[in-house]
Order: sequence, then C-alpha cells, then structure tokens
Amino acid sequence: MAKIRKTKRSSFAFQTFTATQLLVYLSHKQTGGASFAKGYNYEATFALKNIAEAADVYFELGIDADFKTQCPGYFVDDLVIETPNTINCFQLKNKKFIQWGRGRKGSLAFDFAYQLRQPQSKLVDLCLVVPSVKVARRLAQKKPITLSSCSVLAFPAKNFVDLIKDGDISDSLSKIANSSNPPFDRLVQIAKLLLANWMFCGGNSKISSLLSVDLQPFIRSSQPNHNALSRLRPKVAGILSGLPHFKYSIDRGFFHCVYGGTTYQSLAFDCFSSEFDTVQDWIEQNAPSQFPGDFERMMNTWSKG
Amino acid sequence: MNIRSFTANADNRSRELIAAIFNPKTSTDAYRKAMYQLGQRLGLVLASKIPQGKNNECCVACTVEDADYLAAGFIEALEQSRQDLAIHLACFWNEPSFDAHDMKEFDVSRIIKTYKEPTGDKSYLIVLKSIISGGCVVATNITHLIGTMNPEKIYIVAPLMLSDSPKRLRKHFGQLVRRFDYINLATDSERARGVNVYQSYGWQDADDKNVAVPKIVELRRERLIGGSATS
Repeated sequence: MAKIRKTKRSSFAFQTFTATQLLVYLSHKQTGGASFAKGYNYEATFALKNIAEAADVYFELGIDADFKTQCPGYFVDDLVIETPNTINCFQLKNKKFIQWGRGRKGSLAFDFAYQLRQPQSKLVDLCLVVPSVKVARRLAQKKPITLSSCSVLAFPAKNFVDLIKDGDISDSLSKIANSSNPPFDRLVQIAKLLLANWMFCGGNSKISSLLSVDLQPFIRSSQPNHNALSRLRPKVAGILSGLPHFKYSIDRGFFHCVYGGTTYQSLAFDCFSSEFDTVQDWIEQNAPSQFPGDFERMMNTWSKG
Repeated sequence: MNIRSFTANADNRSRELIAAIFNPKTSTDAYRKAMYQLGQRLGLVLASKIPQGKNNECCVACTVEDADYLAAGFIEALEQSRQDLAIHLACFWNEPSFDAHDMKEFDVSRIIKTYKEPTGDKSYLIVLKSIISGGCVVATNITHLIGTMNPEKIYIVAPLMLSDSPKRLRKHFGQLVRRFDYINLATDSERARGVNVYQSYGWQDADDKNVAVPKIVELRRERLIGGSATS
C-alpha cells in the first residue's frame, strides 16, 4: 500500500460540509459497520487475518498494534490498525455491486477523500477490501485520481474454517502457532479463540490483550527459539536421545515429541517456565530407559493445560 | 423432558445396554462391558455400510476414554466381518471443551496428544464416540484428521447422539457435511442429566483419563514398531 504524506483536493464533485455536519455524518456512519450481535462476520474474519499478522510482528519486534473498529473521527473505519509509526484504515464491502460513487455523502469516494484530508502525524494507508479479485481489479481501475494512493484488496467472504482450509489465512495463523508445522485443528482453535477475544472486546483492543486470554497452550513463546534450546540441560538431552523410537524437538519455544512415528504430543508450557524445570528434574532423577510406562504417563500429565 | 428414540440399528440387546449405561447403579465393570458390546453392535452395522472394494482402508478415530471399550469392541466386530478392510486406529486425548467467552460458536477442545497409525489419504474415516452431544470434541478430531487425509466418506458413529448434534456439525464444517453419514443406536432430544462418562468408566475426571494410555494403543503401537523393526 502506498504511503500518503500529503492530501490533495479532489477533482470529483465532492460535497462540502461544515464541521458540525461532518460530526453528525460520522456519528450516523459509526452505528453501522461491524456488528457482532449475530455472530462473526466478514469484518471479523478480515480482522482475524490482520490480528494474526500483527501478533507475529508483536512476537518478533515487540510492536503492540492497537486494533479498532468504528473509530470516532475516522471516515474509513471498518478496521483501523494503529502502531507507533503507522495507521492502516480499511473499509470493507461484502457486496456484489460496489462503486466508488461520485463523491456524494455516503459514497466510498467521499469517505476515502475526507479520510485523506484528515491531518495525521503518522504514515496513513487507506485500503478498500472486497470479496473477489475481479471486483478488486475493477475498483482499482476505476479509482478516482485523487485516491490514487489508496489500495484495493480482495479478501474472500467465507467462514473461518474454509479460510484456513483454502489457505487464505493459514499462513498468517501458522506464524503464531506453538510449532512450525501446526495441525489443521490447532489453526482452527487459534482462530476461534482470537475471534472470540476480538468479539468479546467489541472490536477494540491491543494485540497483547487479544493474545492474553486462553491462547497460551496454542501459541508460540515470545522468546527466540535458540534461547529455548539452551534451556534443555545436556544430561536431559542425553537421556532423551537414548530412548528407543523416541524423537524430540524444541520449536517455537515448546518441547514436542513423537514415539514410534505414531504418538505425538507437546508440553503445555514453554521451555522458559518453571514447569519445564520440573520436567527436567524428573527426567534426571528417574532416567527413563523407554517412552512407554512411567515416562509416557508423566508426559501425559505435563501435556495438559 | 428428554425423549429418547431408537434407530433401526438398535436391536433389543442394544436398548438394554443403552439403558444400562444411563443407570447410575451400573458398576464400572458393567459400564465398560456395555460399551464394549455397543461397540461390537456398531461394528457390525458399519461392516454392512462400508462399500466392498480392493485395497479398502478405514481409519477408526476414538477418544482415549472409549479406546479400550467402545472402540475395541467396534474394531473387533469390524475386523471379523470385513477381512477385506485394513483398519487403522487414531486415538485422541482431548481436554474438555469450553465455549470461549461463553460464545457457543467458539467451542474449543484442545488435543493434548494423538496416536495415529499410518493411513491412506482416501481411507474411510469412522469417528467413534460413546455419546455425541455438543459435537465439539468430534469436530476437533475430524478437523485434525482432514488436515492430512481426504476421506470420501466420514461415518460419525455413536451409541447415543443428541438430536441437534448434526446441526452443530453442519455449522462447523459447511460443505464437508455432504460426506458425513451418522450411525447411531439412539437419539436423545436433550442432554441426559447426572451422567458423567469419565466417572462411569472409572476415572475421577477428565484430567485423570488423559493420563491413561489405553491397552489397545500400547499393543497396536508395539506391533507396528516390531513390524517396522523386522521389515
């Protein structure tokens, strides 16, 4: 998306209004849009993809984005993502027939043009989101010249399970899972929990808050994996390496293992936790010689959330 | 008030067994035996449903609490009546489901462990559970399996199913439900009160059953490891 540094007056026939009239217009506009009363919708699934991507940035760079919907003072406001340096504003239209309009109040062209006119101290990106590539292409071609810096994006209107299955949001969700190659069900559960947290907070939350409720056993550690690897004691690594048909790995900060190519499990806590020290203490003290038996039952205990 | 109806798959013995598993006076041993026998009955029903064909394979997916009883009886009956069919087992250790923020559409049941025998991509999938009510555990386990296989038919099999379970699963899976076939012995109009499957099986609670390693898993797994070691 292009960065907008300067706004221009439109050549379209934009209606002009007083500040009071614009405030009334915005207050009416913000009663529509994302409503969660009937369950999740197009806006929520689009937010989900962006939440997952912002969560990855949060883990990697520590930038805690602020997610908002229906923001006071915004004309393009179905989803607004604000970081210390940037503001991304998205308008979503899940319809068959979508037009920019000629600049009259209520048209997309009007909202985008007025959003561009707002003074901002940060870099602002404006984006229109529509359900099909064909519609996105047509709208990009017919975009008013004054909105040339705005982008048009296609995002499919499907339920979140199909979005994951069809690969529309699976990469974004995979980035924050507790293993590099998460099974399908884990992505679905991460999606459910993020959507539930997003809807519960009414579409206004920081990423750190969205990640703090119920997601812990499903998502990656915030610390780099090489730090997690260094937490594994050499003696414990030696015992585990000697177990027949047993393989283990430390990935995304979590301990994962497979026995006999058929039995898969992961610890419910990351390698930085005191619980992981307890696991290592047990392994050192008991020095298991095989996975089946006491060690497997202990692993079952430790795998519970 | 709960209304229980029996399907054409239920014979008189199945009716007695279902009554027994809902009787609080039934002992742990008798409960386990009843589940084993209900599994056998369902295995026979499935044996006549799965199409005949060369290189037929099926994956029987169960939860840890059902593995040594319902699933063991089911597999035994299916193996005996369909020797043309290669049967593979998948067993799931699920945490109890919960609705995130009390929102029913966001029901979550974390899988904490899986045992999964190698299965062909096109195998028939049979998802077995003692009682299907909310459908969350079943939905989670199917979701896990269809991530790595593409079954043309998914049989959802249970002695007892709640009447609105198919509706809940339809909401979760969308178009995929066209591949679903529900096989049960009885249908309840609402959730039966006062019956805890884990405790009836002899565990204290969900945590307790998730520590267990079923005998059927131990035996089949060692057989597989032995087979791969000698081949």
